[in-house]
Amino acid sequence: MENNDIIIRLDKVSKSYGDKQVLKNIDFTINKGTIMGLVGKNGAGKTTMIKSLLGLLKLDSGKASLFGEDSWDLPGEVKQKLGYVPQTVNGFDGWMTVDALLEYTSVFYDKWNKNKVDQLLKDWNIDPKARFRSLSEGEKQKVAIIMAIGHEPELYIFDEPVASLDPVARRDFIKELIDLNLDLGSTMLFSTHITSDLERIAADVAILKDNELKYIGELSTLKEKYTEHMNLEDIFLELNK
Amino acid sequence: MKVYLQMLKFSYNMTPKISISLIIMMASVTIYKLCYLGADISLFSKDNITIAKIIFMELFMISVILAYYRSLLIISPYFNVSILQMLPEIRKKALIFAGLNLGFILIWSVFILGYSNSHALFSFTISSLWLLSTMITLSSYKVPIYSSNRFWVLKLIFALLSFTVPLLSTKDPAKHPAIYITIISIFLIVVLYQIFHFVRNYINFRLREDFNTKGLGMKINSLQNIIDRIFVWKLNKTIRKLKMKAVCDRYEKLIHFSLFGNEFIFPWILIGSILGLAYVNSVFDLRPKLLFISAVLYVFSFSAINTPRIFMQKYKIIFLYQKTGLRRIDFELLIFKTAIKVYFVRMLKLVFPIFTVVLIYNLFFGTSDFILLILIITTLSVIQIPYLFYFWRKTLKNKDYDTIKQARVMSN
Repeated sequence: MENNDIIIRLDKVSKSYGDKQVLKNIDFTINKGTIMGLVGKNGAGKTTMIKSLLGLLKLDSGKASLFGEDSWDLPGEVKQKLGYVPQTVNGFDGWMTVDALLEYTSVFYDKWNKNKVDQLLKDWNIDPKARFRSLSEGEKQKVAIIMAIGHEPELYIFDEPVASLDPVARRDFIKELIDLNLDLGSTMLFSTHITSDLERIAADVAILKDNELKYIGELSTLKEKYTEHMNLEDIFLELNK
Repeated sequence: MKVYLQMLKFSYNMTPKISISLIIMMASVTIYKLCYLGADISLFSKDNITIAKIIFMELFMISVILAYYRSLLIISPYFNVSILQMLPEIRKKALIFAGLNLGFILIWSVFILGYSNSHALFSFTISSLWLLSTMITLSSYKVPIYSSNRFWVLKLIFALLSFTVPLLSTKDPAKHPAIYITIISIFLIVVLYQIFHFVRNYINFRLREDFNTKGLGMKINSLQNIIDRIFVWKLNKTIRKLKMKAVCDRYEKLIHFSLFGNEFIFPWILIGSILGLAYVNSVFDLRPKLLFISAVLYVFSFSAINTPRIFMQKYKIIFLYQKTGLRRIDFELLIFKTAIKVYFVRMLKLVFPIFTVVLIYNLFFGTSDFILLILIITTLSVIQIPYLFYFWRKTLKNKDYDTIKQARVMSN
């Protein structure tokens, strides 16, 4: 019987692109309300893992599920509970203004927290009347994050969401995630190379190396295994030696 | 020499589909001319007009337009991409390379048009120069043709003569030959002057910081803003309507809007194409019936190339799949259903302008066959359903959306 607290599950998941194996027998679960950070070198398989979870990639073997439903065929109710921010923001028509894009996104959902969206636009200094094509990469990333937050999903999946953000925006973004987690009990999985961000926000961490999961568990437990002066970046470097 | 070979390789890698289509079209037109017409007979000769001949005439015209467009694409990265700009004298070399490409197309065109058909060659030269100058004005606006507003008279002359000279060049000057020659000469001088300015500015010009706020850049941006505002207005109108419906009933319209865009511009492209073909008809004195058949073939071939590419809009498909509360199979089916629906609505939009033009044509110029047109439109419409189904299955159905190859699609 499925444990209702498990929001994300990967069960012996393997995935290859041609001859190149990217994921090998990955077992992975995330419980409700957890903030899980995903780290790994370039090409370690973080994005492939996230896309497999979202049903955007077909698995070679194993099973991926969200809210107990097969990722390859997610029902509408599950998708309504999901907010995803991809690594690069593509596909939106450049002529759309930010407010038109957000309005357009809102039409897909049963509920939409317009106050929250407007507040975030204001806090993150984004002009709602600006055309999408005129935004910088960082601003586009911020809009993508707002688009994922607007319908207040239960699960957030972020694929390197802070890559294009400046330090102030990164700090604001992390504060927002902590608030969402505390206020609404949202579950979060996010991949990043900025380990200091993970230390600020994530209680749990998963480390991918050589297509396999080298560690999954509490960040504090991982740190206990090493000397007390080592931060996550040092540990990550040590693991990748 | 090595540099030009590298450019050839780079230009092919940059535009592989355009290059391959161009090679195939040029080869097929050449084979048709050599095997069915003979080396000394012009493809545009008025004798023995057949549907096959019309198709190859269209292929020839599309090839020439595509070749000009490709030449502009070839030179664009050496202006826009900073790393390429740093190569010594690269812009001069890029222009020489583009010139060689154009020269090759010109020699080929002369061969297809026939060495002895001086009138067709003259008309082709004038139309080519006009087309090239217009393309430079429209597509490479970041390299201004004139660096100062002092040239407004020349701009005005070009704009005014653009509407008349290509047409004038196709007819013999039955009356007032002196005026005819003067107009053509002025036009030629203006066009050559524009091309000269473009070349000079391309080599020396550095994009100004204030490009978007001053001069030509500002004018282009204002025009772009007006078009953008129309699109946003249409989107907001759609959103207002959709908000009155239940969420699950909104998906079809949202998929339609996201993948196909604002289609209100389509009939205008269509009318433009038909008028273009009417112009070709007046140039080469084709039978009127064939004009409309070629119009229909032209629009259908455009649709056949463009519509299946709707399924290849990777990022939009991923976005829509995430956002729509539909299972995979229902989502994919809804996309197919929407594509078929949009396709038929397009065809209906096609019928009206074509019939209007036919009606006007019959009223003033000659006769054309409605029944034949209806038959062709119906047949081609029906043929495209399995064609669309095939592409949908191949690209989308039960596929990894993440590995769809992103395609450029002619929508807003």
